[in-house]
Amino acid sequence: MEFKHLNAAPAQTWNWLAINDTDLRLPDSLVAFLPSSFCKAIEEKKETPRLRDIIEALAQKKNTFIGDEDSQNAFTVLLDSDNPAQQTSITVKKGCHARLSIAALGREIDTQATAHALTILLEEGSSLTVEHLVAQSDQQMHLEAISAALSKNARLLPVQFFLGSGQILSGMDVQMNEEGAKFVGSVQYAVDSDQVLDLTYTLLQKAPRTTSSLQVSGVLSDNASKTLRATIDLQKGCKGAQGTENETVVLAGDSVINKTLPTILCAEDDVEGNHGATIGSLSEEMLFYLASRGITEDDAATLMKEAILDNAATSLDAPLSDAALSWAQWAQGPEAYETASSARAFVEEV
Amino acid sequence: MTKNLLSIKDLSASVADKPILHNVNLNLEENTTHVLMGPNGAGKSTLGHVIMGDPSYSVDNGSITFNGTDITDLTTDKRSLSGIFLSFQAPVEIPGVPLYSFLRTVCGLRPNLKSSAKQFRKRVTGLANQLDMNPAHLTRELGVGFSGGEKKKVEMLQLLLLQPKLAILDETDSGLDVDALAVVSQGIQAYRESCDGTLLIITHNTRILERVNVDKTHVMVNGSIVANGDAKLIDDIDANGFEAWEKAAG
Amino acid sequence: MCARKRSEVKDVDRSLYDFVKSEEGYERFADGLSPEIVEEISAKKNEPAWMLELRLKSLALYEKMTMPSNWGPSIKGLDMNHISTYVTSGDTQVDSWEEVPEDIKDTFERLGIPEAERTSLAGVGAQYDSELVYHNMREEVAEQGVVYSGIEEALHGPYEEIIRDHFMKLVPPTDHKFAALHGAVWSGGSFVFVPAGVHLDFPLQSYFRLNAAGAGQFEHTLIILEKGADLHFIEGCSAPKYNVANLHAGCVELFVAEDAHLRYSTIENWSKNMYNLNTKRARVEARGSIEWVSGSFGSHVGYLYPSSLLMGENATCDFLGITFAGATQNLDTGCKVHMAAPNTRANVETKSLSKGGGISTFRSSVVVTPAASNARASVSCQSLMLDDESRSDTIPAMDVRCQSAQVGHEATIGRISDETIFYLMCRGLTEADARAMVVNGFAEPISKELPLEYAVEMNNLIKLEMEGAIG
Repeated sequence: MEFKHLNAAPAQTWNWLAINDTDLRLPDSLVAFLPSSFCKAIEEKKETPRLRDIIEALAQKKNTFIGDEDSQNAFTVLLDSDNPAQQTSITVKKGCHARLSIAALGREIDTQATAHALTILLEEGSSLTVEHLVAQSDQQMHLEAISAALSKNARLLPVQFFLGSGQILSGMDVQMNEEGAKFVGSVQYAVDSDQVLDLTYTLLQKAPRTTSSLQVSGVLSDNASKTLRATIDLQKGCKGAQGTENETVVLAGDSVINKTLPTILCAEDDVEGNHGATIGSLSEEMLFYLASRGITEDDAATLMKEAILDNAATSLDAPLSDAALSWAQWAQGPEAYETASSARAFVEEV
Repeated sequence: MTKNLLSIKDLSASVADKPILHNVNLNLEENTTHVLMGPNGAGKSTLGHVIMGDPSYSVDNGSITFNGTDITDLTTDKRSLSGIFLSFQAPVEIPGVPLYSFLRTVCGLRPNLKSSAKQFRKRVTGLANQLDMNPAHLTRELGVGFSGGEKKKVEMLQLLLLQPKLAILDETDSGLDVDALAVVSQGIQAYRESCDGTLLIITHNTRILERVNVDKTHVMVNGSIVANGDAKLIDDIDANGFEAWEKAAG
Repeated sequence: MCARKRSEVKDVDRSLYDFVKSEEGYERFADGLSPEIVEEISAKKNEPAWMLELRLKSLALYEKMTMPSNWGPSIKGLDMNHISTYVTSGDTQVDSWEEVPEDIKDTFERLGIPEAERTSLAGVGAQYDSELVYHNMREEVAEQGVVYSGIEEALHGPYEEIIRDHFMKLVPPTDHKFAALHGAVWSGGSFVFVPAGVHLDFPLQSYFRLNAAGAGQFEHTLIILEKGADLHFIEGCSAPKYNVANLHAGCVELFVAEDAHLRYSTIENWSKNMYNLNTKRARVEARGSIEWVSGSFGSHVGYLYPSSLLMGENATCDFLGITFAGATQNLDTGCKVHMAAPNTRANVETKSLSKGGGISTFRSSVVVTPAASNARASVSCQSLMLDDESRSDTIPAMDVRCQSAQVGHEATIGRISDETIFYLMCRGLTEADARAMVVNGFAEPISKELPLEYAVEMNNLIKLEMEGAIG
């Protein structure tokens, strides 16, 4: 089954660039999971469902989490061959802090796809760290749709690692509805072979003094293809708001495709919006510095990739960093496992 | 007579067809400390970069021999692995790469520095402590979010970690930053204590040298070495500056 | 604490541009579009058959094509059934201002064109509505083999073959709906040919004036630089304001051969009832360079993205642009760069200002193909919001497929900080002067690249925009 115009950017541009949105071919094994009513509605209405609609239609398991004063507030969603498609909603109560870990894992080809739709509601002064790890095989696919609504002074702190999967479609919409809401997102990816990574972030800053910061870095090698659509929308009324997005992409293959659409929309004057992107080979200055320490251009790409694994091993909580390490061992061998786990040991030490 | 570690013969170099170095001759003996001084724009930093093989400069004439091998045509990474180190005013910023991962890669490239993960951890945290650097900073991204003094510590940490045979410390700007200055002095002392290497300190600020035993001083004006002497030459420069040489050079 | 009132920003005083001349005795084709009208335009110009064929094909394309539904300002207010595609005074083109009809001459004198020609230009062309009324070039330039003439005039001479080989080859009628419209009803415009190795010391300038209400202007500019040639071409345009929509759908095709250098400067100052759907494109061969300097101040709706195709090794592109969107304006501007050869370089620097409810959108694309090894591109755009009623959007797209390329991009959006204004007022400037100073500084990297009289014009425009009483 073919779906069109998924993961679309809110403000679009020339269609010949083929950057505004993406198409998805859902394998038959998954289509079988779709309720017939859903398929029928699509056929009859000729409507294009959003990524979230597809995932929700696929979801077999539903999770509801509440972060409050009485619980540990650490939740985990594991997407594997037992429960490949799930739908989660999480609410963090006023002033509480919670952590949600999402892992889309797999080594074998028996489960072709994992899918997860997440709805986040953050009450006043609450905060949520979302750890998101995708570590799969080239034969797999991961679909993720995250929507969040932030109340006054709430903080959403996603940390995402896309280490491997044949195809990843991931979208995140964040509505900073009330004063002082804050989004700090970190995204790292290593994409190789024929993998496709398609990311959309839409950060709506609707209220005064809201802040958003999105830092994305990654390495593309072989025939990898990556699209990033990141939109900071400084809406009318968001006086004192700040929005920043930054991307660093190292291209380490002759046939890679890197598409970036970093958009800032602005309808307020008392705001600061910034965007920066560095794409391609490292600058001459960086290369000379690295060379002066013995690192060649090829080594530099390896260093970047290792660093992403190190970061996954060191910055994710135990269940996810364990998963990242075991994926590293499976995908890249014992040496990769060793270096990343030693990085973790180091961070624990200091 | 001690053996030359680095020997520069009739070296001329330019950047974008603009000549900067003219017939430079310089010998650095094993296990000695040298100072290269000169006014702003004399070409001192250029010399450091040319020794390191910075591709932005082209060598128009002459040769550089290191440890008995002609390295004039060697790429920068090979010079580094053969034992030359150049410190920068500040490390470059590479978002996404933690300092720790970078240091591990750098050591991994050198057979003599390969060690178990545990030994490596011990070594880098030890050096960080020695330089009064918070070991937690090793988990930060390379160059990102460090203060001036901390950036210098990152450079000195690498100097001590890599134990190069020749360390070129380009400190032409450090005179402006008191913290950085202290870090460099500390680094120089620690290097002297732990390695039998040769130091080439490039500066126009003599304060950095107060606690260093300098063997030889070289003065560069307008891209040429105009004077060679011992440590006393530094006092002379302190008192009189570079004016006499500049006048002579026209 | 009482809130300090911000200086109010006045609408631009357009009296310099906003004067209407009578259309009495003018020939004006019926509003709307039909094959008959297209045939009539072609017959009037006594064109070769291939051109009529191109026009009719373009018209068919125009009828079929749609505007993109997912991006860009609305052009709902533009009804082609109420646009006359061809209006002329009926006077023939001359090469002496003395022979230009009084009304039209007065128009261009007010705009300072004959004066500029005397002092600082190598040649001038002036178009009034659909037809050129004046074209002249210095003799010594002509002696070097440079051709600067009306494109229609050139079609009837020895350059027909060359024009046929290049006309709408860079911007084909299939490009977008208004390129197709241009192909169908184009009229007027300039043809420039600079032979190999010839450097022009002074710029050539074409000025386009649309006087008729409810009319369209569709001039075509074709510039061919042979190997090693060097030219600075200036384009200016203006129109009086009407209550009905006017349309400008010009087309500029620039061919820059090996080692040639072209600078193309524009100050677009159409009135605020204008729909400006203009297409400009340059193809640059090895070691050639294109420099765009582009100021967009006028128009109700603007779609303008000069594009540069860097097809040969070491070809370069520099784009400097400024857009000022005031009340009732929706200006979607930017540029496109296509890098398809090794060591190509592109440098894009843009500024945009929004005030009084105006909407300014910076839109760009940088495409780096696998063939563009060691390509370097840098894009920097800065936007200034002058009040909280306006909009400023930045939508830059990048598609990089070459490992050794380096593409850098930075964008900032903000306003003039209160601290800056306070600092300047502490030094004795009024708030209005302080704001004007900051805005002029903001625009300075671009105004300093404009020819003097245009820089003065741009500074005046900004000053007029910024002038206004406190409170």
